[in-house]
Amino acid sequence: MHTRTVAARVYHEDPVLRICRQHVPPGVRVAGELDQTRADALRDALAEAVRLDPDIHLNLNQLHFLDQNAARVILQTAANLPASRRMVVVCAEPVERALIEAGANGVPALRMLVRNGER
Amino acid sequence: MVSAERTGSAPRRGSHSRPPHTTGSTARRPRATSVRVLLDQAFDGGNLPALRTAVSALAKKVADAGTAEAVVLVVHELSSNSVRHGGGSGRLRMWVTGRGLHCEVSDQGPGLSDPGAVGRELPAHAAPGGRGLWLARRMSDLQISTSHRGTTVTAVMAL
Repeated sequence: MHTRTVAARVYHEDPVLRICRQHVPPGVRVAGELDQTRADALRDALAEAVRLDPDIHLNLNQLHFLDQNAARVILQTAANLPASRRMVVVCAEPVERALIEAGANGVPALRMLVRNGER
Repeated sequence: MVSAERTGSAPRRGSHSRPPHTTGSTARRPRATSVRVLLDQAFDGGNLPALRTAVSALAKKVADAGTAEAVVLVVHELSSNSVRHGGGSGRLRMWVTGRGLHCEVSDQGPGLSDPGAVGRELPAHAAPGGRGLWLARRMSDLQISTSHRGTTVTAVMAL
């Protein structure tokens, strides 16, 4: 009897961007480049994480570009979490910079873990 | 395929020493001898990733890594504004004068109603737009020229 789906779930995949479910820690992994044209795919993936996961782990380690509209989707999701829940974003410096420019410091539920010195 | 969208060869210096500006304002022309056109490329919503790749490669030749990164962010936000609000497409031209990298994004959209005020403050998370120009203003010296026939935004970044 299968009560859980164990196969990796891919929300979006094209030559520029891949968004998939991450199992450990549970959340969403995004790789490539994310801009407004693909922000809806991220919104859908995050919505599922909000339903399934206590805290949202967003792994952006392999994300090389994030624009302001896509950053807004991340910040909105974090800002709308109930007070007891967090969004933990793992990313490199350029993505951290984009999130900060979009207003990350004004979202208390957001935690950023920044990977340094790797390009 | 994104790589198929790549720009053609970069314009040669000699043949493109003209200052890449169109309407009037000869006073703003950079001196022909100091102009180095790096990129002249049309874009639309389908090739923004390719545009970023081209911008990144060229910015890295004239700027340090951190500045090049900022250039990509600013140019992307401006070109993405043209795609969303400026008629769906536009044109990017980049050139260097002295210690400044100029990034000019033009479109033929309906124009901005209040170019002096737009992007002065960070919009709320729920607000749909405005953050592109906010970021561009923070990271560059921005000039906006707009009318009902289109908008040209020039971001100058110190090298």
